[in-house]
Amino acid sequence: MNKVKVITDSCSDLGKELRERYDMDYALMSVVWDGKEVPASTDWDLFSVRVLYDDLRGGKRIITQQVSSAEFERVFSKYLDQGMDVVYVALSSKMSGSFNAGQAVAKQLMEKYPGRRVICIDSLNSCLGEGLIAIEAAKAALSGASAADVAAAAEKAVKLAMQFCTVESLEYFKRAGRVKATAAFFGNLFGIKPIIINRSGELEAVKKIKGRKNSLDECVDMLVKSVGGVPVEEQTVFIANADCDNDAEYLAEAIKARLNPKEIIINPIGPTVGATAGPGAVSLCALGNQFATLGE
Amino acid sequence: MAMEYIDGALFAEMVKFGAINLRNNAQTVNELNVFPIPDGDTGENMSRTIEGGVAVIPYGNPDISEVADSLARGMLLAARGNSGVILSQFFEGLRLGFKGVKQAGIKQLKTAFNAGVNQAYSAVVQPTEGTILTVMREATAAADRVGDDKSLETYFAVFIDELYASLDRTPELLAVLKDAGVIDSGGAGFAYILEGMSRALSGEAAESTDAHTHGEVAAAADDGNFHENSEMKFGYCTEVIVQLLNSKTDAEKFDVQTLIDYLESMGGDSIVAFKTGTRIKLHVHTFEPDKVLSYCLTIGEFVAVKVENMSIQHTGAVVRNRFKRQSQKKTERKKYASVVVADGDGIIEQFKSLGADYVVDGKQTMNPSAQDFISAFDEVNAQVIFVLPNNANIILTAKQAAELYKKSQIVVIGSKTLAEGYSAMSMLDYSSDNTEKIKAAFEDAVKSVETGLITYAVRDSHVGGFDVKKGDFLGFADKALLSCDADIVKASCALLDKIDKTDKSVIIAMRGKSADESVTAKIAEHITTTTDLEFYDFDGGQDVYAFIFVVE
Repeated sequence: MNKVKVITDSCSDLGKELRERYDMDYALMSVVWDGKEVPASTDWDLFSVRVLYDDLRGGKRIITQQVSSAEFERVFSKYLDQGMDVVYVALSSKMSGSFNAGQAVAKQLMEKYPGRRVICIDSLNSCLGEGLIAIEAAKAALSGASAADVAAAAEKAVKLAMQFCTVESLEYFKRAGRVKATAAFFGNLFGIKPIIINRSGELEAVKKIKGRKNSLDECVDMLVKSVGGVPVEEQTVFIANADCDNDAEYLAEAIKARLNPKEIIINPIGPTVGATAGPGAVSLCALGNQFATLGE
Repeated sequence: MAMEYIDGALFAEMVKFGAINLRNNAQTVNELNVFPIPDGDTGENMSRTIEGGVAVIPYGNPDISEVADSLARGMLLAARGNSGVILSQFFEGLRLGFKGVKQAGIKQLKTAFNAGVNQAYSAVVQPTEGTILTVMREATAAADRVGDDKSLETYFAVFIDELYASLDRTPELLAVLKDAGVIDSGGAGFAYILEGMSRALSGEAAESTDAHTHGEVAAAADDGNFHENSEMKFGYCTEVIVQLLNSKTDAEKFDVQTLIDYLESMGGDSIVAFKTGTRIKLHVHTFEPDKVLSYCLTIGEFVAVKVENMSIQHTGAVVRNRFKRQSQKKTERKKYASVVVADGDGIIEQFKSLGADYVVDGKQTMNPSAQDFISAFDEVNAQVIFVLPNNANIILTAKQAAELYKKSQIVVIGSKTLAEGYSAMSMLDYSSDNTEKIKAAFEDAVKSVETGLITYAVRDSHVGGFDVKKGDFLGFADKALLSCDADIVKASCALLDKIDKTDKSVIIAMRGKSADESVTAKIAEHITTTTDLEFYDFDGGQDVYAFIFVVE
């Protein structure tokens, strides 16, 4: 049995299948939806993809909430009780208080469980960018590494994680205050699709592209130009999508035509990211240097 | 009595008379439109260009070079529309030609007119024959052949004869004119000006044709948008002819400058006033026409009076302080800013939301003048200012303003339509901090757009293989008529079907005042079922075009 359990949170968008495959668990965030607090499950057991995104399309506001201390205590204790150490890969500390809350709980629990480690990693990412960092950590855990080595694997992935995202409209991001954009990205950009990347823990709109298809192509192009650090043949490329399966399939084909990754995984975007990015959001996540393509 | 010289005072009177003659015929010139649609504005543009000069010349100054100097400066700033810019450059050439001349005889006049033609040609990158350029060139060449011993009246008579002959030949040189059965509008405007100047030289009065055409136009333009809750924005265009009376003043000796001084002191604008014999013809824009009339009654009685509300007329020339309304507090000098020309409330809002720092209202200004641009440049206060004229007829004016403006680097982007400007503006991004890159991005955006326009026919005609009936909807792309149908949806869909959509992914419909949303919905359905393009629309609020389609 592993010595270390890798825990992530709802924002990583890792569903049950992927968590089981890499022997991970997650701390649930919650969303306030129709006035009720609902656990932000990424397993589609409480609500379907369609219901979530149709509500968002219909203009319903879904408010996201960070992981509560009680939830951290529940999930961390569960594995500490089993004699394991814990490495928690958290959503970027610049977007949520979850990392800080997790650290506080970790400190208490390490006093309660002397000699045990609970290490919190600020992924400086979200969505499957965070998810793929957690997976890199989980791979190390699966190989029997210590908590410190698992944490080191996670930190290495933090430096390499890339996200190339596009949305149908920046409205959701703007409403949630979760994107950095110059004035040029505001206004009613009919038909203009922004390209959003993750920069030091925050999402930033960096390019304007005309038309949805062109914006998808641009994401693929940026990915192809930036992938690296780990040979692409050994990498998994993740395609996160908010209720736009056809676009995700299109992206997968486009990537296959230009790259030969070990695996391409299409994964739905869960309620936390979905409420922030809006229906139609897609994000390509892999390892490399994402600034290579921006000439920075 | 034959004139041997034109001095500054006479030249000023001549130009003023030329301006009045054009103003009286401006609507006729407007209607010389190659397409049967309601967007002709050449007469208005040229009138306002020359009126900008007439408003600033020093009347009574005997030195023709000084008068020509003020006139040219005033016209360069007031220039609007391509014909207006060319006209202003012609007078800029006269200024150069009259340099050092106090009073011009026939030889100096020939020199000056030739300099005018050369200057006008040099203002246009690719001069087109069959236009105002041809007309002024041929008339000048013909008058050159008048002997230097002949009178100035003879010179002008030959000039005017050839002017009209040349004007009649314009359809032979320019196919679009021939197809539409019209002569060149800019050439016609030029002819009215020179004819007025010639008549002033020979002392003919111009009262006979006064005001009638002008009045009818205004009545036709009253679309009921001035109502019980309206604000008086533009004042009154006030035109009177006063017969000076010896019982009230000394009719012979009355100095018209006294009247001009009074009008200026009460805040009148676009003042044109001159005396012929013992009559005064006066044109002024004012919020207080009552004061103008009262003053005139102290010196004589009216032969004719016309007072028009310019908020209805939409031809309110230079209304002072117009820019103050839009102006925000002066801010720190920015690195980059953009000035765009647009009309339609929705389109203006859209441009602002996309990041335009200043929107020149193309309707309010009836084609902005160079001065309008200069005021906008001052307002945005930036090191580099990008200009999107968004109208083929405004690009030259913007370039003229750029030439005159020294405080910033002005980059005029050649956007010929609102669709091109919209597309460029939507891609706005100053983050490269590189003027050349930003310019190239704007220009790329402009190049990658197809513009579709839907308007209606104002008369029956036969254009581009279509039998156009008055009231039909017409679909244009790149100045070619591509569809014609009594049904707006059919005309729009046929137009969009014909526009080349290779590599295009989005159609944006700017909906004009005359189109409603149900029409847009039907067009949207057609596009989304027959193509894989994305379709968006918004309420543009523009007048002439029921739809402006951005195909990008």
